[in-house]
Amino acid sequence: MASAGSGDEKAAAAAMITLISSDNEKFEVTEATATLSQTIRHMIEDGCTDGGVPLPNVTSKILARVIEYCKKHATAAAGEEGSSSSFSDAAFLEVDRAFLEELEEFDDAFLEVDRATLFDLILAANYLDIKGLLNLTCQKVADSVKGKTPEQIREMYNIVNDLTPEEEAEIRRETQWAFE
Amino acid sequence: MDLLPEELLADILRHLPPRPIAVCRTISKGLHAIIDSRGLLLRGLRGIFINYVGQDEPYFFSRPERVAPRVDAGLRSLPDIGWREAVHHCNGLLLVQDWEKLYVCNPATQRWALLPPRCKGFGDAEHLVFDPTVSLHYEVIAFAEAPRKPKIPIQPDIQRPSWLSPQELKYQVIKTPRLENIFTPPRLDADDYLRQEEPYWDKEACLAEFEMDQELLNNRKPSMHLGKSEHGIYYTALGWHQLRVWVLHEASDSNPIPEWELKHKTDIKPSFLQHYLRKDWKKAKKSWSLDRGTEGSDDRIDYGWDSSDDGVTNVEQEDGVDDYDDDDRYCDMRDDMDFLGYHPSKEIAFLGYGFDGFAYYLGTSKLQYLGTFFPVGCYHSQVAATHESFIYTPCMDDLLPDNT
Repeated sequence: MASAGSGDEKAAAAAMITLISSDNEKFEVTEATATLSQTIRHMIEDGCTDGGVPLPNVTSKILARVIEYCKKHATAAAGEEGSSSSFSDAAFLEVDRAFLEELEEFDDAFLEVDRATLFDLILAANYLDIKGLLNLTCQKVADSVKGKTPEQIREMYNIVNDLTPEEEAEIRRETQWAFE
Repeated sequence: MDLLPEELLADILRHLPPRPIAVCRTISKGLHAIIDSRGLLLRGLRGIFINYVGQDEPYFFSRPERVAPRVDAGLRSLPDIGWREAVHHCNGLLLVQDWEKLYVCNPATQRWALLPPRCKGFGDAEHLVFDPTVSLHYEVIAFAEAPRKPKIPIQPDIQRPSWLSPQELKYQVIKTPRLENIFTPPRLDADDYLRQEEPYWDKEACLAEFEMDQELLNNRKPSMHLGKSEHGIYYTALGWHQLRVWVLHEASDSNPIPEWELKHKTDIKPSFLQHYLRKDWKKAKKSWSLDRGTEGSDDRIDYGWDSSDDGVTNVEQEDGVDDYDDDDRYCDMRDDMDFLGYHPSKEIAFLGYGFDGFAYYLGTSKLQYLGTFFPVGCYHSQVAATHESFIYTPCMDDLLPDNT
């Protein structure tokens, strides 16, 4: 409440936010990290973050991972802002490229999780409204079914086939090109 | 996967190209429903782009949809210089031309690309080739001074016409079916003419008129259309309300030469008469309408036109057929009909009579009224309503630039 509308930019940038997981663990993060989440950004704008932000849908295990992602990408966003002012500087672009590559490597490593965790991350990214993370995690699941047969996908994700053989054949016939 | 809400499953599926989406459709009832209800694979028909006679742009005749994506029916994403028409459509991409330029656009993603200027000597015979299940790259084919009616010899069945260069040999030319003796021009009844003229009793003038009308009728040429539907490639000829449909049997090991099989041979006039002779035909349920891409067209309701038999003309239930409507202009069905195209996966032909759109089920010979595609501000009714139409099946994938 106190910082809202005061216009003290420096204080706002350094402000810390406390996130509270469903199992009551507290995480201190900078506002820059927290505002990658649109949900939290709106809370900050509405001035209702005093005393911590309870996130009853996110466990501490998942929240820790989400914060790890946000920290990395918040730095990236800050770096981008810095470089845009010196657009013509080739050295800067070089640094930029190296940083983007590093970010990509980070994302790849970040996604090396089991399926349950991946789904929890999707749910958390959706709840916290973190576009980049949602995109990244959805893409990971999407990639996992590419080139697989229906049976392989069912096995991978424990999906029960509730279609009758006739129904399945009929649906398949409609897009025969996909199975050739 | 059951752990994720439908909305998120749809988000995941949106990251996939068509082929794996088609695979996911066969996994379970739940996934099938998510993909189809949200139009994620978009293999289906969404509507028909129609070029009208005397209109400045094509309009979109369609079944209202609540599901995403929103189709840019008015092609508002494209630059508009006052006149344009659809040239061709292929699997979700539309080729559009205005006075000077040619565009490829995707009404579902609202992305488009301007094509390079036409080379000299290349006329208006452009075709678009796009198959997102194979590649997201499209090709535009233009034939240099292609003769309007290439003289293809009757034998052999496959021959390279002189206007195809050797490198175009990959395009196989298949002769279309012969139309001789396929149609029987209807016979007019001289007695009808005499009966109508009775008060004036100029028998000779009356018979002359009859002869002339019959002559005109005999000389009418059928219209031909090439399209795709449930069983592949369809060749359709429409003349005197008689519909002839051939299906192509593609070349195979046992059958090296592609062959056309005459699959449907019907006279659709009785079905049309039945529709127009109903006293309440003007109140018939409309499930399709013209979407001109204006605001507010989003809240149209989906009536599920092909999921029920509602509105399909049914011989048994017609009690009032003999009660002629006061407005009997449709009883005299001598006007040309428009063939609008085929449903891409069901044997349904879309037909236009005047500005009325119909679905004709080839298998059951049932005719269903869809609605009117009459464009506001169009007043002529003597000429054909449309001069070209393109069945539109949306696709969410392309490599076109985002110009917004």
